Amino acid sequence: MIDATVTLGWTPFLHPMPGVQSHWLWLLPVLIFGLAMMYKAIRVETLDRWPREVAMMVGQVLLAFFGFAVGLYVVVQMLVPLLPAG
Amino acid sequence: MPFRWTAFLLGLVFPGLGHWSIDERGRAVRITAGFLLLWIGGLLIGGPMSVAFRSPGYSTATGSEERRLWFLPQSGAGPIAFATAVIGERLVPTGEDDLLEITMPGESTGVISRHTPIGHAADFGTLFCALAGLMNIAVALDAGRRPEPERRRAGS
Repeated sequence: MIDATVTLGWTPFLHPMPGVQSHWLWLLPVLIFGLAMMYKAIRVETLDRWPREVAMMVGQVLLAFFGFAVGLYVVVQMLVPLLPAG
Repeated sequence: MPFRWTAFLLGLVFPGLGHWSIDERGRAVRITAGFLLLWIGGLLIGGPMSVAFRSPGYSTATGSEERRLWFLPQSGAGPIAFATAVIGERLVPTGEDDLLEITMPGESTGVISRHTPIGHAADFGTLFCALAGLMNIAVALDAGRRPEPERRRAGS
């Protein structure tokens, strides 16, 4: 939960954005979206395909992150506890 | 095909300007939009210290200011990066009420602005601007090596 008093006291571009520490994961799609906008602008042959290509790249990268997260969860939470202690 | 140095250098001066100069205006607008999203986003998240020439003393092992390696990829944004770093240094509030006393490396006492980004705000603010700068180098290289027929076919 973001503290409303902290948010009201926030001066954009002068102070760091409040609430990032606990909600940082939502910045990931924004970061990937900006990168995809630039990358696909030079990669697509015709610009009418640009919006679709950007959306696809964002989806693919987020899916890859999700896959890594699931894989790590399985390893750390399920496989590692099965290892013999000591 | 010879490398177009003018387009490459214009691309480094301002993101998208290289493509604009070779009549790839549609690409140029999209490049600028993506860059501004990342750059302004980074400054919104981490504040003015997201782009800086030097790491502050409290964050280094020696306790003294050091050259900030993150500025290298950020400098791919060209003059915008240098202007942001210079303006950012002056924007950080350093009035009496804005300073906090902290323990520096080596257990000496130091002060920092209470608006200094820490944790994920510092990480993501820096990362957004660094990736914008790195992408702009790739984009400027593309402006320099984009072949003529492709330019005509792609249009703007």
